[in-house]
Amino acid sequence: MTRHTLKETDQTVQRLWSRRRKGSAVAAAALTAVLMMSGCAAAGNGADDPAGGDESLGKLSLQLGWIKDVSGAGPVLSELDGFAEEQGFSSAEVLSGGANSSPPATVVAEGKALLALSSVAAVAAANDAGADLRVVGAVFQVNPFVVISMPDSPIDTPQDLVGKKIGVQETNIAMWEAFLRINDIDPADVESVPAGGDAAPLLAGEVDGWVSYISAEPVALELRGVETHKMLWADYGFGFPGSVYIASQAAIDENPDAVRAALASQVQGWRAGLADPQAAAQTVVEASPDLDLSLEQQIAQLEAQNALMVTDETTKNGLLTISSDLVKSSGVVLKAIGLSVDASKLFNLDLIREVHDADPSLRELP
Amino acid sequence: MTQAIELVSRPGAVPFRRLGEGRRKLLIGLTTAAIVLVLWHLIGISHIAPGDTIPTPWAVLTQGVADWPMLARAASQTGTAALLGWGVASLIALVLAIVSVALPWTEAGMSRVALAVYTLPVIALAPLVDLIASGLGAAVIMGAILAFFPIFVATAIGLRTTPALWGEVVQGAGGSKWAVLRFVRLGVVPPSFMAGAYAAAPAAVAGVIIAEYMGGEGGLGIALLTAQQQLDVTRTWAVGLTTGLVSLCGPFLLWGIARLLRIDMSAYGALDTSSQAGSSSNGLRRSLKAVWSLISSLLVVLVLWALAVIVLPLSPLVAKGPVDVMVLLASEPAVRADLAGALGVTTVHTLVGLVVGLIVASGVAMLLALLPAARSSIMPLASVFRSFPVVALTPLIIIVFGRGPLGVIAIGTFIVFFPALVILAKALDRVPANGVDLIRGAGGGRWATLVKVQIPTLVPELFAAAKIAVPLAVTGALVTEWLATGDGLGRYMVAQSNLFRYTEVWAAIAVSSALAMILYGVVAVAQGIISAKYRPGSAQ
Repeated sequence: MTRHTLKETDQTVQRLWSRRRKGSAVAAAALTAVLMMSGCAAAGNGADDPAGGDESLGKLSLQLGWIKDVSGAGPVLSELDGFAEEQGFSSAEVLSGGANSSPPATVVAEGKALLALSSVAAVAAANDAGADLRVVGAVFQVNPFVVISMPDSPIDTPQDLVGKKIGVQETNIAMWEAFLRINDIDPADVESVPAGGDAAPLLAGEVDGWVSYISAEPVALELRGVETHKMLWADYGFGFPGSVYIASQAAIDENPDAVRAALASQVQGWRAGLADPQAAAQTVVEASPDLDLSLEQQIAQLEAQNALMVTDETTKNGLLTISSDLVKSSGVVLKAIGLSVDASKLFNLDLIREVHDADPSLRELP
Repeated sequence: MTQAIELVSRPGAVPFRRLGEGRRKLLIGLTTAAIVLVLWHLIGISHIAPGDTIPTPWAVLTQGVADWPMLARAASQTGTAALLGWGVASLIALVLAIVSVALPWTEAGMSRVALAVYTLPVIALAPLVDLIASGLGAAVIMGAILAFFPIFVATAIGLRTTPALWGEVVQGAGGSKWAVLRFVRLGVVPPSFMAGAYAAAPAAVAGVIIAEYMGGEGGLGIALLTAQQQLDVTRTWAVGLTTGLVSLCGPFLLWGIARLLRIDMSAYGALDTSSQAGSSSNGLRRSLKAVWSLISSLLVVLVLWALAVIVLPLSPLVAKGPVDVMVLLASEPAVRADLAGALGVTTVHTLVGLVVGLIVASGVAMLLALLPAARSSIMPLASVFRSFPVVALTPLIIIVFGRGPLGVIAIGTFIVFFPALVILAKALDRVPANGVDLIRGAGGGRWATLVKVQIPTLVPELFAAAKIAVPLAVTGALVTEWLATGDGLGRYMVAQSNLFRYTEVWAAIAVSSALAMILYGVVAVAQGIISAKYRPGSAQ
């Protein structure tokens, strides 16, 4: 019986894979599958309108560039501390990101979020491909990228990189090569190896240097008792805001009030993080128990980030604003990336100025 | 009958021997587990792994106990999504399989769609699915996509394998085609469906983990990502092992249900499509059929793709159809060159993993044929690792084996080895009994059996294993490129989506799917030729 069944099975497999049939069957089957897929999609898709509603501004959707840790403290606190509601939204939803999820620029271009944390370069690339996005504020005035190395073989200046093996995450390759070009180094002269989110290869001696945010791996390593040597890109011609807020031009045109209100809630969120890093980190950590974030590490990370937010510009004009110098130097970096765009057209800094003008209490740093 | 006689003639003997057999198996199992743990422990305390990337089992267990609340919560979230995805896939696959049997003209199209879904590069797909439905929805869809193929294939096979005689009886009694379906064919749905569902359950978990890894809110995927990000090697291991256990829950439950309901799934090996040719069809004809199957599958994918772009709720900025991609490839030689270069790299990575994995698997399968005692303890382990979502293990494998060619080989081998071993070992089991008897009768031992009967049986089965492993090997190559080597199509897809170049992303998705389908087709053609040569009626 078993052998009989098996043989039958085999013949059937052959038939299953190689039967000659009418073409209409193909189309019908394809249509069925597509319809079912879209059916699933519709079922899994909640409220789409990121800023709909009449009386209130509706639900605020924010897309992070990373997981829900303190790198997104402003958005997370705007949700949990009720700042979004204070600014007229019915509720807020913060969408987690990650190195491998859809790029935030895509999420905003698709209208799935009103604001997202992204980068100037991503906006430039998206607009180059036909999207219409704007940078509406910057979280980090000082670019957070560093090259970390072990103190026994430190990398001090960009020139030290020549001939070295450096771990770089895939998403940062374009930035990395731009940094090298700005410092007149041929990217081919540095051996860049792709990296995951874990600096273990640096500790294992597999690589000589590691590209990361100053607030990420260096902080994690320091807490483990590993001192690292840091070279901040911003000290070597990389005048490029880190972690910027982006919105679509369509949203700015159709619903400028919502964009302004959303930005105001973000200023509130980041102010809360500046005012009391410990309490802010604790809120973030407790909000996502599954991430099992270390409170100690998150406080240290938030403090490192805060240092990148407080500059002459933000002290004078308020958080998230961008100086005209920074806009100018961003153009230089974009050019080095290979994106020949007019930098001034990527930014819309009127909205954030209006936010601070409307509520001067937001402008003062805590 | 024989047993009954024995029971009468030697009361008590049989139950005792059975107990002894059970105990022996248990002993072998425990010994194997102990050996694995001791080896693991020795590796852990020896610190041979650079950067201490292999902690001892005790350390991992301690970590797991300490992390229990987090692990339990993450596991239940991942498990729920996987269960839902698995349920959706089961329902769709069951309905489609019944339709494809009831309406034979739909069958060819549907089986091609099933194959196309199986060969889709999940790495590239996950971010797109994430755009359509975020959070739980995305996780469920990804789980369903990965679970669909095994269930559909197994159920459809089950429905078709009804002995023709039974059908004739019903029709002879005046029953219609529907009556045959209702009374005869649906009777075989439970075992074949169960077999498919069994294979699909870990696949659903893998799909959910990938979705979580690419922008989820919680679950095991995120826990893994976070543990890595925090440089916590021991926790990464603990989460990884939990992931393995969760992916085994489904098969274990289904196995229990099947036993309880006395359903015999063994006849329906889901994906383990054997190469045994029917005596009626010759190799050449089968090969021609495989070629036609390949071409028509590619056409189906094109139609499906064009429809998906229209139907799916994505803007034209992101959703690019076959025409967009063809225009791009026709007009941009630079893109063509980049894509061709990346394809070449991915092809090499795929073939390396496939070949090494198959070689190692057939070596081990032959060894196991010689050592039945080892076999009974290793095969359950093979089934365990067959279900393990490799994406979750990739970062660990890279840390241990490095980012170079060794890492590529290790990951490819790991992905291909276990499914191939299961197929090959099962094939060795199916070795014609009369062939074995003949050798044994002539005084030949296990070795002679292996060389004269089992190896000739193994050769065509290698192609069956290769066919199943091809899409897995392509996925493995893409994952490795994305996480470790930073080249090939795996890197290309991620890099292009970060640059918002979605036409290029779709081109890469199409190319990697085509790679999987063409390799699958090539293996099928070779299988047709080889199996015709290798088994000249040996089954008779």
